[in-house]
Amino acid sequence: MDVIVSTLAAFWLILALFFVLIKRGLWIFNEVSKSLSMFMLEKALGPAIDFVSGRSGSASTAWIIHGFIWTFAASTFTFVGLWLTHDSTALHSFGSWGYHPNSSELIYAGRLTALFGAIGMLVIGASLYALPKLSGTDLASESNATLVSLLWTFSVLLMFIGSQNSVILGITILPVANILLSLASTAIAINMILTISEATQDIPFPGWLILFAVIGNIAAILAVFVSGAYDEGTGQWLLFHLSGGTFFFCGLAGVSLYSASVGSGNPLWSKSLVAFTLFGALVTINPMGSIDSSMVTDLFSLTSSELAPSSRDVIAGSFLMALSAIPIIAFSANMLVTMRGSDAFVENPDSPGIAELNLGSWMLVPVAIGALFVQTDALGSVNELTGISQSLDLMAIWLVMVPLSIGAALNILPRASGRHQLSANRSRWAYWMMTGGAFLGLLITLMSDFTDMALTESMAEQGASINDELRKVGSVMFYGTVIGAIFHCTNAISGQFRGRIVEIGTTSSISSISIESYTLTSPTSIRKILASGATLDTEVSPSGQSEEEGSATEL
Amino acid sequence: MLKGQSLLVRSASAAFARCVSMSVDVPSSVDVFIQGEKEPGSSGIVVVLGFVTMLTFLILYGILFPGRDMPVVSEVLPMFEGVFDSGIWFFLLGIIFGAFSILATMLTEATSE
Repeated sequence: MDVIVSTLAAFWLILALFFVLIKRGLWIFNEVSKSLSMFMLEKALGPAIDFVSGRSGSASTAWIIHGFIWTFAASTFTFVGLWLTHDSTALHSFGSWGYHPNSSELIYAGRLTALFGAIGMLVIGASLYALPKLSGTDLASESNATLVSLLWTFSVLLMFIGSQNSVILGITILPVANILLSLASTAIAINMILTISEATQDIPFPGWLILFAVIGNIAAILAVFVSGAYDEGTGQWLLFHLSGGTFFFCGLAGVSLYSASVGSGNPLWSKSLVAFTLFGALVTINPMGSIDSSMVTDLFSLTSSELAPSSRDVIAGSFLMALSAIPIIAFSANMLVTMRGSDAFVENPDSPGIAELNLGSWMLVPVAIGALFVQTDALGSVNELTGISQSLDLMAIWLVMVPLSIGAALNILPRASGRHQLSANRSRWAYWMMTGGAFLGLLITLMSDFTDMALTESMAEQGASINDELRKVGSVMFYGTVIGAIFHCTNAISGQFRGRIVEIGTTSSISSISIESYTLTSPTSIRKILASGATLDTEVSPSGQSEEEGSATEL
Repeated sequence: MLKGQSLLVRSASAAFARCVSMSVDVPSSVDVFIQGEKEPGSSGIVVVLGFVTMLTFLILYGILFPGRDMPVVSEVLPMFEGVFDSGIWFFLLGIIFGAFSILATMLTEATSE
């Protein structure tokens, strides 16, 4: 049976249905469903909703701060996991407390917390600010979105516990965590749909990317269960990659494109490329991620099946993964050209996060090409590149997804909270520590993986000592990521209390839509004019005024 | 009074004496704790000097009593044998320090005036 094509057909059908419902509404039931949804988001929660602030931007701020803390936790788990690959008894003393940490479990915990805790929360946090701005309205329920951040964080905490001890008191932890996460996702999806229902302008493509990130993930789950592919290895593999292509890729693309334009002050380079990114992300299979889809079986409490695709599935899967190069390259190119020419880098505190967005955009293409080779190899059951799958997966997380999500969050946090980060210098240090740590650490670990593969192929009886040395150096290098995450956390938290207050000029615009005229009332830089949304075609009108006492102001 | 002083000088001296006697009435302290906002750059030298002195005494102890264990420390350290026996603990201490610095930042920022 062709699992991939039939499941994708169901996925596309569900997405089309969602799209029609969003655009056309529910006919005469529109107002009733909106009122009922708002009631469910706020009043139905009773006194709980009064515990959180409904101030504009508070939801986005809460999600982003949580995301930073999870970034620290995820980097810590990954670092310890990488260390234990060469020194498996390093933490044996925890055994006296009944805890026996091992490398694979900790790296698994690092992946779960990085994907759902760090990247997930940062992307949703940035989306909760960007989507209303792109729609020209306010978020439907700030209070609910703020409250739901606690539920999401709790579910990620359960994921960490479940990754270390799958069953506690007879309860399988990971499916419970997934149920809570799905509940939070549903609340966020409803909140976003209600928000765009009040849109006062045409929603630009980054807004649709954000929306399809949330509903695409739900559609992917529904499609795999409707088509009955959930108990097959290929179906589980497909669900893993559909979630990666919708929630993670579309979400990251949406908030990154928005932040690239807002942060650099340049209008988005190409609308067509964003359209390609959106369409391509939904009709192709994103190759990034592990070849092991055990995360899906664990979270949905499914019986793990071996990946044994039919020949037609191999052809369809490989073809659709190769096609995913189009949206990936379109997104990367659009990002890089949008940020072109601006002097916005880590030294410029008015454009925080641009350096991270640059890094993520640069690393996306090589990592995706590497992932394409590894996934095609695994889908075709060749399994010659299985040895580098884990390192490549970590590279996708720490060199593409985390930088893009942190970049977008750093850019949006000051706008949402009204205060800048406490120190531009600490932000700079955090960037270099995270980038250097992740890049060098994972590259050296990848070198060790290749050595392992070569030794396995040559059927060497003993492993090379250089391998352990490389893994040791790799894990120590990765420690920089942990330090960088700590810097980001303290900087973001302190910035909320003592950071410089964001000054929003009366003529500045935070959308990427160009303005037709710009009134120049005082000397200013070209960068500030561009940052207000002006393009090369914008007409600049200088308005003079006399400093002579008693004379009228010329306009 | 000095011989030959004019009337003007005498009256000026009397006025100065009154001023002095008035300044004696001002309290010598304001009874309020005062602390500088900024840390002087040279204060770090005192801390470094303290560490250097400590290290010097440790070396001196090694020279004066060669081969003998440190008092107290040598009795405490064996308790941790088999616990911190991997290099990862240096890094974990850094992570623990970082985690507490995040927690401390949250608490102090939220509670400071």
